[in-house]
Amino acid sequence: MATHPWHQAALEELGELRPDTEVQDEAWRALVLVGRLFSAPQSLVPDPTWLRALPRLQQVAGPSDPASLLDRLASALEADDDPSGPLHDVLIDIDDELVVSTMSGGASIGDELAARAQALVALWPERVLTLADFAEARLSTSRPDSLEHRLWTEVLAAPAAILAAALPGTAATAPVPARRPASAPQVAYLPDTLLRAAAASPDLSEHQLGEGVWLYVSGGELRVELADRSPGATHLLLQAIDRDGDDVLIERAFVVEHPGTTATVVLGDEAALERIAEEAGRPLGSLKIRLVVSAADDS
Amino acid sequence: MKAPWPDGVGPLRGERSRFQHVVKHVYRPRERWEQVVERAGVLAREAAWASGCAPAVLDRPHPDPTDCTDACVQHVLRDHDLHLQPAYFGAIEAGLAADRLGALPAETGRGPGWLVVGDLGVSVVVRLVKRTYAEVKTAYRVVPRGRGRRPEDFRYAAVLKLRDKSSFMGGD
Repeated sequence: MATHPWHQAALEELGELRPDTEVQDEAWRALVLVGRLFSAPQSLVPDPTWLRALPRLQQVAGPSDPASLLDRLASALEADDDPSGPLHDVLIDIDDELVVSTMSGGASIGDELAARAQALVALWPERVLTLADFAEARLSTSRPDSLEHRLWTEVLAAPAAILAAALPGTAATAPVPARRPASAPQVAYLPDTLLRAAAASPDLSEHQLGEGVWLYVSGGELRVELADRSPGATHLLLQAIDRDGDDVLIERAFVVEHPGTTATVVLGDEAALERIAEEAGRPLGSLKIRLVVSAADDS
Repeated sequence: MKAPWPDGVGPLRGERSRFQHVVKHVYRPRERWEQVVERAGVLAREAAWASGCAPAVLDRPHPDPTDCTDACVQHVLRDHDLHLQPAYFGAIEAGLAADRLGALPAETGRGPGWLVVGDLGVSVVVRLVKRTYAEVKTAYRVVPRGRGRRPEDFRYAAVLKLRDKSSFMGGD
């Protein structure tokens, strides 16, 4: 059986890389290429040198950030630029993440990522129409039970989804999709201007960080208000990230129960951001602060 | 059959598209456009604030020029003409010279396309809009997954996407 050009390209590119590379992006690329060979329908096996190098390559490549991938996917789907640009990029990045997580035994993380990515694509089928050729080709190079197969199947199903939505009677009964699926985490960043202001003075005015996400100081406390939540419990993860390296330096998790649709999370006193920067050992201006919001039973 | 490279390539069309490309790519620090365009990134964004662009609008995921003052819109569009447009045309020229070019599938109701990667890692999507005339549809820098943020890191990241996207099309 002839090797598919996609896998042939992976084999050739692996030949250009070194198993002992110390370059982070090259290590990740090597993992992706080996993962693509493993997930081939005919189970291609790369040179044993690569198999022995996998644990070290994973260490060099560093941890993954599925929440950031989903946020990028949601943003690219909402945009109206050419789908062959950042939208196709992030779908390939998610595919990469899925093949590597399957290969490294992180199937549960991959399973969740695939499901959430599928849900997002299903909300904007018209955005992925032009990627159908790629999806079809990619499907022919992966096993039907693989995670990446699920992702590209959703892309390939876009014309049918659009057609189904246009059928008589469908429009009246179909629910209006939320901006993001309820199960997808919502991600917001504190803007640079806000961090600079917080570094200068903790006396912050109210800021909208994203759709239904507000940050403000009240009663000496720094609070995040989350609107339009399903009544119950909401999980908020605060991450302080190195602006240069994208490493997560500090993480704080908050869970708040709320009978109504508004959840208010107290991050700490009014100098909470400064304190996080001190703990990270960095000036506040050198950090990105990310908030990841999800329903507590999703996490 | 792959379409031949067009005789002419026009710039991004439309005020909204130009505005959004400048604000979402050139003004934001993530893509490090200061490596491509002098005084890009935070400095360019601060200049936009000074000309009347509200930070809240500039920080939106998909900033809309209709939410901005005329002075702001004109400032951003000037940044497109003076900085972004020469950058993406330069990237096309360099990418063609270095053969960093791949065919993209045709878009429904529109023509086939190409992805070109410039020396500094600017990725440009070009699509045929008439028989032999194309337009730039998007221009951006692929942000490396790892810590590297040198121009060659951006170029490596962009070239990998070029390989992956065009591999099923048989290259170009």
